[in-house]
Amino acid sequence: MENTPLSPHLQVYRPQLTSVLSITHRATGVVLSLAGTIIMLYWFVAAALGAEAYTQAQVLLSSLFAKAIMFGWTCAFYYHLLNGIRHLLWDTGWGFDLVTAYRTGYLVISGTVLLSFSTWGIVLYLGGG
Amino acid sequence: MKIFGPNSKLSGTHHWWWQRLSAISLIPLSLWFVFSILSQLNSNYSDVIQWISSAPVTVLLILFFCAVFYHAKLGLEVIAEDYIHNPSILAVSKVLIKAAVILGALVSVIAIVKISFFIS
Repeated sequence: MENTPLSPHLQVYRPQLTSVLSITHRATGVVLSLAGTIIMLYWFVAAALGAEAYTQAQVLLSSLFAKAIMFGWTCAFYYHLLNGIRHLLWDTGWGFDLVTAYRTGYLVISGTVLLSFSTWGIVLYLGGG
Repeated sequence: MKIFGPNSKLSGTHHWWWQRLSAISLIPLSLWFVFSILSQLNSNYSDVIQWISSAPVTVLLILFFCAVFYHAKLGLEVIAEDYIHNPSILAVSKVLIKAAVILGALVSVIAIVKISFFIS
């Protein structure tokens, strides 16, 4: 077990777009499952506990700091969603060649930015957020 | 994990399939969830209770939380298996992951059921 060769050799490995996107998929997955679920559980549990607890949660979540966290959560969500779809397409055998892999990689990045900003634009316009 | 999968000792192929199934079902569910939750954050208490209590929302929320915690379990397990090389630390981590997602799923479902059936 201890002598199992590891690949890639991270010390001598030059990061590329594809490898950075791959590790970001894992990172956003961890962020979403830890930070994301804790915020969501807090909000739902507060609502279940009653009006007072809910109002308290709302005050906390309406701060600028909380909003910044929520925006980061939205970015992590869209990244994981779009790159997840990229992974599902790979599962069907599509998009493995280098040109397509890079093209879909850039699509994931621009899609994340575009969708995160437009989601918050719509939400704030409708009076949410 | 009888509620979510066939059994807890999933084989590699099973793990792969459940991972994809949860991923595909989460595409529409998570988009709906993120949009709804961000729009609801400013709502007052009675509006939020009313929103959660409507039958389709109650069902979708429970489906979403079950799918999301199951998906998180499968993903976190793979990450633990890849980066933790000590077998006993790995075993403990996998138990902790399982305990955390079961707790998360239970808490979320109980909160939603309480709001839908006992508050409104």
